[in-house]
Amino acid sequence: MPCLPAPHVSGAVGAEAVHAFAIASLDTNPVHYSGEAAREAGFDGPVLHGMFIAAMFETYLDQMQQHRLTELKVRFVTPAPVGTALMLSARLLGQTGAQLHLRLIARSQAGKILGVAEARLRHLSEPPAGERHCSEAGSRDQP
Amino acid sequence: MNMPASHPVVSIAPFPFRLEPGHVLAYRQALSEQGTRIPFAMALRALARDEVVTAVRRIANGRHCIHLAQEIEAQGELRTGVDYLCDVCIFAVGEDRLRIEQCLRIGEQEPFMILSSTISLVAQ
Repeated sequence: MPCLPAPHVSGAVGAEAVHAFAIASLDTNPVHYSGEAAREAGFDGPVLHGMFIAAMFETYLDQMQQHRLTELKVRFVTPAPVGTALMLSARLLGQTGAQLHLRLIARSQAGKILGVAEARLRHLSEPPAGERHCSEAGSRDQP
Repeated sequence: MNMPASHPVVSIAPFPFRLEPGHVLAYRQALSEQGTRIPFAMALRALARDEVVTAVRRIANGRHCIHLAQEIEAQGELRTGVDYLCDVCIFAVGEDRLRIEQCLRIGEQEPFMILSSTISLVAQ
């Protein structure tokens, strides 16, 4: 079994981080910082950028340094209120040759699923057989 | 890329897109994560281009844009200091949904990265 990243918990993503992400991503949609706009759009209050979660998935996968990400498909399942901490986990769906197929899940600390992704990664070079396994602790997922 | 059966509502002429080290640094700082590569998600900065924003606003017609899903396929890693060419097509999928298809190339080469954003349009 390939080494998957261990579950990861981010800090709470507050308004300051959302503001910084809006500037860095050039996505200044007001639903991410204006309570009024967020309520008009049907939310209880400002929500995180979906692409913040997508980018967190990507950064999470950076731990797999022997692999290159080739495809990422993300569904933003539940709006994440500003202030949410993200719990990220990965599960192996399949392996074909040098290609891995993973499912990634972002949850709130209350366990609500916020985003689900499927990722395909390609091994940069075929590792020696002895390096293709790791402890199960790194590959667990909470279904 | 799964293209919707409908014709694009708007097709934007190719325009240049470039990432600088400062953009990447700001992005990583906003995520509070170090990372070792440039997130593919940074390619969505290209959608802030005036022509794209204007077209989306016109189609949205006062409705809020909510990001529902994102698909990204890449042939390699994004790099700073590279002049990419970006094509954008906007498709209407039903009355209240948009699909923004975006393609990055380097010069005349085959697509380097293909991105597809699904957007819900929510009335105020």
